[in-house]
Amino acid sequence: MYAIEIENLTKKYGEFIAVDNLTLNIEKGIIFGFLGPNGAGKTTTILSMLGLIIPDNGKIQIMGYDVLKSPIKAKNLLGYLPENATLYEELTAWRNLEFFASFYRIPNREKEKRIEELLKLVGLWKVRYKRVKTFSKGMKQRLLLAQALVNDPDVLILDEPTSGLDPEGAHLVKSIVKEEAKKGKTVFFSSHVLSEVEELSDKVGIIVRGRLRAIGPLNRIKKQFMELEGYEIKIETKQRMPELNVDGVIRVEQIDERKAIIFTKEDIRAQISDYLTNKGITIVSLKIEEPSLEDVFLKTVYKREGRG
Amino acid sequence: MVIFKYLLKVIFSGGAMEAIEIALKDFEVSVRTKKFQSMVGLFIIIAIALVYYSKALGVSEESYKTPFQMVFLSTFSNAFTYSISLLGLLFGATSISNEIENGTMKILGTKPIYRSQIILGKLLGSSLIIFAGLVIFYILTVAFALIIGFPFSQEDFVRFLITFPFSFLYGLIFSSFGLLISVSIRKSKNVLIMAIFIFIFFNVLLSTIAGVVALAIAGLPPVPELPENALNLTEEELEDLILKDPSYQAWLTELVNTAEKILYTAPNYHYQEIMRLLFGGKPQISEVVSAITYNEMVVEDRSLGESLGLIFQNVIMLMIMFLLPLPVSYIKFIRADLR
Repeated sequence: MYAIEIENLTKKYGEFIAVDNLTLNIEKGIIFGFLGPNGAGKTTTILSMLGLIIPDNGKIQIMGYDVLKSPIKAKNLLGYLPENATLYEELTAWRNLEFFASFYRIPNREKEKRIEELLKLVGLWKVRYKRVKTFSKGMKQRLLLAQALVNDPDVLILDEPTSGLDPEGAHLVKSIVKEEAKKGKTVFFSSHVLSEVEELSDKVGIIVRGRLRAIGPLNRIKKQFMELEGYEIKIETKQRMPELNVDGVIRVEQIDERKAIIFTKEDIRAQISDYLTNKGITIVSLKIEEPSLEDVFLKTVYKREGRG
Repeated sequence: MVIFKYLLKVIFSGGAMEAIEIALKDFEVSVRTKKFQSMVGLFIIIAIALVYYSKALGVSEESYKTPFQMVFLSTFSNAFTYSISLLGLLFGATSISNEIENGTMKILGTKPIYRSQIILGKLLGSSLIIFAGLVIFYILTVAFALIIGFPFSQEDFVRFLITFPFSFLYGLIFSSFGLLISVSIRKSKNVLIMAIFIFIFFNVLLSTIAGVVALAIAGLPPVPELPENALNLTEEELEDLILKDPSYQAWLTELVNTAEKILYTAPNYHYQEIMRLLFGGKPQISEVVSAITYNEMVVEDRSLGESLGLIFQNVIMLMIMFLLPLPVSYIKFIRADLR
């Protein structure tokens, strides 16, 4: 059983297809980074997973529970941090958490203990009796994260969790996400900060125009990307590098007389090494230059969108 | 607050608890808003004005028996009618749209509660606010009456208190209309515009429309047969002659009855009828019109029980008006995308 199972999800707004027959399975206990340009269908997918949007077609299960047929069971296991939301500004931080916790039928003493732990975790314990309207954007975002954790959820869904946070706040959020994953919780998050996705995710999905364009562990996605787009092999030799007459080399970009980047269709490091050794050249280093997530993302998005 | 919360928790159980939590939260949030504080301010002004001017004006002994009767049977009570409808509309209309706009609905919607519990909670929340606003108004009116030394009979007091549940029901109708707007329109700015339109429609436009339509149906007033010495009559005598003319009275009755039929769709008509009848007003409006013409009493000696019997139809109509928008709101909210 997967933590999140999305099967043939389709959602249209009039003529516009926000999510187009999306199928996605997220294993338990992993951190899943969901990427896509604006309007790609990330938020629609997330809101459908939460039962906030009623899809035109498809089925979504959270820990085996259908979000539309068994919403209470599914939602009991969920925690959600929305993007661009606020809490009840006229209420205190404590009262906000108390209100959201009241739906989980947690005994009062346990509930109060949980709220205390969370407020301490997000650094808002000292201001717990202050009204949310007096909080900074960062403080509000941390309180939002606390509400998402109030039921100690098995599945945590975060929409742009570090948006609007200062570096300290962003670090706190990332450490909480890592901590939750260590406890065996599943974290599904969307972000525009690619370095953050690269740092946190065990698995990444890229959605473009409502369709999933790439999915898998980051290293596998990068490998697939290289297989599709070609390899960049960085080489440094002791002596001056001769002209490379090796099958599979597309072009060579010379950095200086001993350093170069070789663009190839496949991983032909062994052939390059043999060729240069036969020529009496000593290789100092020969390694594949892995594409960054940004490279993968931009190429995937722009290629599919027909730009660049 | 604690006692009230406890009582509610005792009364309700199971699924309704979540709705109560939402209602109490809404109440807590609303009483801290400028919107509620402004409404309370308005109620205070009305309460003071109601008592002060009633005392200052004195009783028109030809038509009314007590000052309170006069207050409630004169157009002055319109201010109170308007305020309750405004209170209900403002809090009902913004209850869901505000949460959608702020993004809190996205959080609430992901908690383990059914949408039906959310909408019930919203309705209960608006009801609590209306209840609180009315309690403040009623207490202040009595308090100011006592402070200013307003003649306030025990019967007036009882009848005044009896109006409370009907005022509450009247407020609930507008809250129910507001809820329907709230689930139908996404932007709270547009919701407010719609709420103000509904307010104006029921309180101003509909009565104007009723007047125009009634006049169109009844036609122009008949010209009475004037006596030969008409030219020697004073203006007052001439007016009296025209007003008391049977054909004019028949025309006026038709005009009033037609207007009443149109106004039957308006909650404020039924509410004001309830107020009027509870304070001893004559059963038919045409009787009141006739009484005014002949300078007779517009009220009659009637027990409270009899008065309650007369308002039965109006109460039923108010209840229908309260219940009618609810299933539509429910279906719309259940099917809505909470983006």
